[in-house]
Amino acid sequence: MKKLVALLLAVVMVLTLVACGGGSGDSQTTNNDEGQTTAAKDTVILATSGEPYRFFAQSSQSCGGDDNLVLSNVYDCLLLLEADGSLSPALAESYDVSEDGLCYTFHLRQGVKFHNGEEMTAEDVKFTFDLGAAGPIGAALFVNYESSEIVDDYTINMYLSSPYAAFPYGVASRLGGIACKSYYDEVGEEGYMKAPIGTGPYKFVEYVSGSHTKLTANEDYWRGAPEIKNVIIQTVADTNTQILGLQNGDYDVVRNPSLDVCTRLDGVDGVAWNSALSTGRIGLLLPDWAGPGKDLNFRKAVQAAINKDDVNEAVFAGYSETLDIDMCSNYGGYVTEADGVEVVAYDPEAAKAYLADSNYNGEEFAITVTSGTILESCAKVVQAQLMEVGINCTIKAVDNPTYQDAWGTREYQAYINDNLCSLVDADGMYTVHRTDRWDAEHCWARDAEIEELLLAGRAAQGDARTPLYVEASNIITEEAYGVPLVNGLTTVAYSTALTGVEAHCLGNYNFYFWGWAE
Amino acid sequence: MEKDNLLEISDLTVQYNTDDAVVHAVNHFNLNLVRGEARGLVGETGAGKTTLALSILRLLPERVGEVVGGSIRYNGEELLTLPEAEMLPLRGKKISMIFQDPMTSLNPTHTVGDQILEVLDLHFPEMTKAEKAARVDEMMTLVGIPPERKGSFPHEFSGGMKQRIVIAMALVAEPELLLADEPTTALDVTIQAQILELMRQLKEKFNTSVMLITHDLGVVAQFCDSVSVVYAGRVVESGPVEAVFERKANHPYTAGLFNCIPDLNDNQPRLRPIPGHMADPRVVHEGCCFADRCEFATDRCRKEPPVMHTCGDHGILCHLYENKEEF
Amino acid sequence: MSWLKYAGKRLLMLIPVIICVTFLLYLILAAAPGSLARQLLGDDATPEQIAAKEAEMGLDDPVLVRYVKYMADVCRLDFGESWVNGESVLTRFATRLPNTLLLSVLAMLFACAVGIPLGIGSAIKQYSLLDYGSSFVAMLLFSIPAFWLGTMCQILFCLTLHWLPVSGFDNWKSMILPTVILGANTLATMIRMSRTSMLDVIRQDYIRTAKAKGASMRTVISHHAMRNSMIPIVTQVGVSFAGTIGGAVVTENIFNISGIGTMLLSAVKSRDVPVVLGTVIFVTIIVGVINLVVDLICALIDPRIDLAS
Repeated sequence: MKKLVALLLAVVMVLTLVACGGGSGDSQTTNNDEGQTTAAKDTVILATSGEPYRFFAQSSQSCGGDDNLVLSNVYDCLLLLEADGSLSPALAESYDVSEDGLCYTFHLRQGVKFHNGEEMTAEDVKFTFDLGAAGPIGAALFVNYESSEIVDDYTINMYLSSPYAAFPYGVASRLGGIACKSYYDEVGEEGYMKAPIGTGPYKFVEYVSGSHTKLTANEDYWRGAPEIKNVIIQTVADTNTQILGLQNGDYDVVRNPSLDVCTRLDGVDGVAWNSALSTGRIGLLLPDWAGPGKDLNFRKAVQAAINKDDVNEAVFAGYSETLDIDMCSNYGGYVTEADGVEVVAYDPEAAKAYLADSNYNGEEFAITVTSGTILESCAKVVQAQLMEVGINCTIKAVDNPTYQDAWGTREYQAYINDNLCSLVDADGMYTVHRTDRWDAEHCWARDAEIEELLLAGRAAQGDARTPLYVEASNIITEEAYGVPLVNGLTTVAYSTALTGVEAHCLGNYNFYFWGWAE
Repeated sequence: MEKDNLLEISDLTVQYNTDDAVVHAVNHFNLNLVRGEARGLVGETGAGKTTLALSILRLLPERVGEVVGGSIRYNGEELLTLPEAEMLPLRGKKISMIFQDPMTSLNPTHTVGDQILEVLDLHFPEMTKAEKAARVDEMMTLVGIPPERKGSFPHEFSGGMKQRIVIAMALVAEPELLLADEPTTALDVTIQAQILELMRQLKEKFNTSVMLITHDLGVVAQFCDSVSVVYAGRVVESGPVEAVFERKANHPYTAGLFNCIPDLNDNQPRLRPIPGHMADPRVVHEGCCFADRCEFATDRCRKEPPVMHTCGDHGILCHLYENKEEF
Repeated sequence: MSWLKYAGKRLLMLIPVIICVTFLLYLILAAAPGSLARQLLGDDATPEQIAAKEAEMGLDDPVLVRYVKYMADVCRLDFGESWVNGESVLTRFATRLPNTLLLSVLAMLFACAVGIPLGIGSAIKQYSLLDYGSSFVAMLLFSIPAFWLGTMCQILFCLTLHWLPVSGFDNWKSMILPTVILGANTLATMIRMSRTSMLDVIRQDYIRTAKAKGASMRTVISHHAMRNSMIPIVTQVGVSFAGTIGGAVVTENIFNISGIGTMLLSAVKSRDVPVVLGTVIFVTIIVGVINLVVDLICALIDPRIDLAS
């Protein structure tokens, strides 16, 4: 009898679990079993390990690159950032800059509708920029923004407190997605987050935490209805599973797979991949306030000991570009040797000479990196090169939060960083050499000088910027404050059933430009 | 064959094939039992007595135990070649066995009532549930356990009571032959007396033949009609209890056993054990198996194995009694 | 009645366990480098912004104060919100738990349904092909790590044979591989345990008694041996079940199942303290309950166990 009761209990327990297991938590409902792409061929499934969850850029909660997966498709900016880093008209058909660089006038496109049917006007633009500038990332992306003035429904003036050459990039950034003021007045920030609307080619359908986000085509999109009717952004934590799923047909696109995974896909039927130069500079930074780096000769030794081509080969199989200065070639305001930039060539003998001149006595030189990333791989190559000239180089690989802490406090001897810039502009150099974030002890000796040049550079326009950045770069090179290594790479792997899928310098995915290959 | 032999064991040889060596546990064993007879099987530990009992029921350990020769006939039927399916109705119903340690003989997760009942379930499917329950109650009362304790578990009983339950289990089907392997060895003396008395009563009531394995000569004297003395897997002496216990004529081993028992009347400063150790069952003896411990051993003993010399029902396996007319 | 009292006592004993575990965890997480505030606000955040965010999250109080505040909330069944996306910890856990639970239950069922008979069969037919074969399989499954086995199966069954989907957990086909992978280790344990337990039981005297009563081998095994050999097996099932709930992380990761394993992992990576603590508390309770149930079942099977003592 007791046996029976126990058995019954067990059976009931199992049945209950199966019942509730079948319900709630289970996500991924799109795949009509067998895990194959929906036969109807109207849905694209994108696999990503970083999950988007903040859908209102101007909120008080900030937003990141992962969120941009959704933001760049649900919203439009005034300008569109292209895959190669250039800007093209979007919600603004054109814009003018005043002579003193303090006023930007945008001429808006007419007849653009939000997803709720309201027309987009200058009022929405002003609202978006005012709110965004006041938020946590406003200062970083809407640099020097002061106010907006509505001239008429389709014309708006934006005023800056001081000139900022890279301002258009901020306009095209994730913070610049134009939101609907009347809708915000109606539902407030929380409501907007839960059910966002924009003017973008896709409408937000649903978000299931830890699982997926669904978007559906906006048939009334001002560029024309998108070819891909539905997009599902699927959270897949494991990169192996992502690639296997791509090969198996469970996913159509995989976001930012590592390069060795991509090269393995060469020759596999039905899948393809491509890469683009990112807006990130991967470089070795050499603080002059800690460790052996205090000595200029030591830093110069490091600078000469590094073979950047080898790093490119080892880490990116040669697909990327080496960097001469702390700027990517796709930056606005980019300067080259032709403009007067000094470049230090790879010269291990010179490195040994510098090392001999320095007061380095074999102590440990630690490079801090985030573990498990491409930066760690770079570090290993660099380490080998430094050890060859006699530097006792070690690698301190830490997890991401720890690394960010280290970056924040600048308590390290050296580190390899991927300096990503949302603003695809030379002004990206500013984040490294600004003096207002850290105390004098944790800044480079000539940072004040460099900062002055960079501030002047960001205020100037066009060619006037060139000599400023050349001089700034040369100081950094002379003092060997850092050794820029390679340009970062963004990648995308996708099924050959799709066309138009290309890697974007900022890692953006504009689903609108994708289509079915037929 | 002769008389009413319930059990006839002839020339039985059993060995254990272990990884290290072959153990000759039972060698050319002979024994007869008639209906209603209580025969004691006496010998030291390791003499092969338990092996013999297990062989009768064909319960030797599977891979290791092997019957090499001889026969066991039960009611005229050869048991050694019987198919397993035909052994099942014999075990527990016609031939029962009681094992040495009552503490571990009972299944701890079944009630005692169920364990007695199981014998009936196995062998008397035609009985109704009520009839079986009544029989169980009856049996329990007979062995002195109140039937209300049917639903208790073995761990709730003392050693003596557990053995009573084991006896109840063994006799509930009223078997013809009961093999009792040292049933009182694990119990203390007072309980031992009770158990033996109980067994005697039941034996008389059901006219059960009993083969009582023991190392205690006192128990044999108390309980048995006849006795077989076992050494190194052989019967070295066999006969009615009176004849053997008269101590006029005995196998040297039996005599040695008797000498081991301290006598209250005798003023012995020391006990007199039998010198040496029990013969190594892995060794095959050329001559008499007891030769190296026997004070009367001759060269002939060491070379030539003796045969059983009988006088009436009393048999002794020793060259000393070769041409004796009467012992 | 005594059963309920016993169960109640056991559940109450969980409380000191939870307190110890959470306190230790709290200390460790607080000590771990890496500020969540900085992570959330991104690299561009100024030190003032970070400090403000930390104050908002209550991170400027001393550790003990924060811990006590947290436990006080827990007593009112308020487990807080995720620091990362503001979602209620309880809701998040409740949505993810069924997946992990279902996966664990299936894995255990698989492991037991295959492992126990194999183990018992091996014991009954010792030294046979079944015995050697099962032992070999068990050894193999013990040694192969889940992540390797999982990925290999994905390649074989999904890419090459196209029988099963690579990931997901909503239809029966997608449940097969995760169940097998998660259950593999337990399967090995079950085979070995059942074999040992049954071998042990078969050698007992009461088995010999049962045979002497005239019971056939089948009856002996099913009626006498099984129940006794089950006792250590049931205990092991409890232990393994608790283990699969925690060990589901790797399996959930590979097959992209939205369960508490992955939730815990990402919460630890991003120092999302409320989620980590909440999950640990819930899992502790679940494991405690499982152990309790196992003990009760054992008491059911084995009459020698007296719960009152």
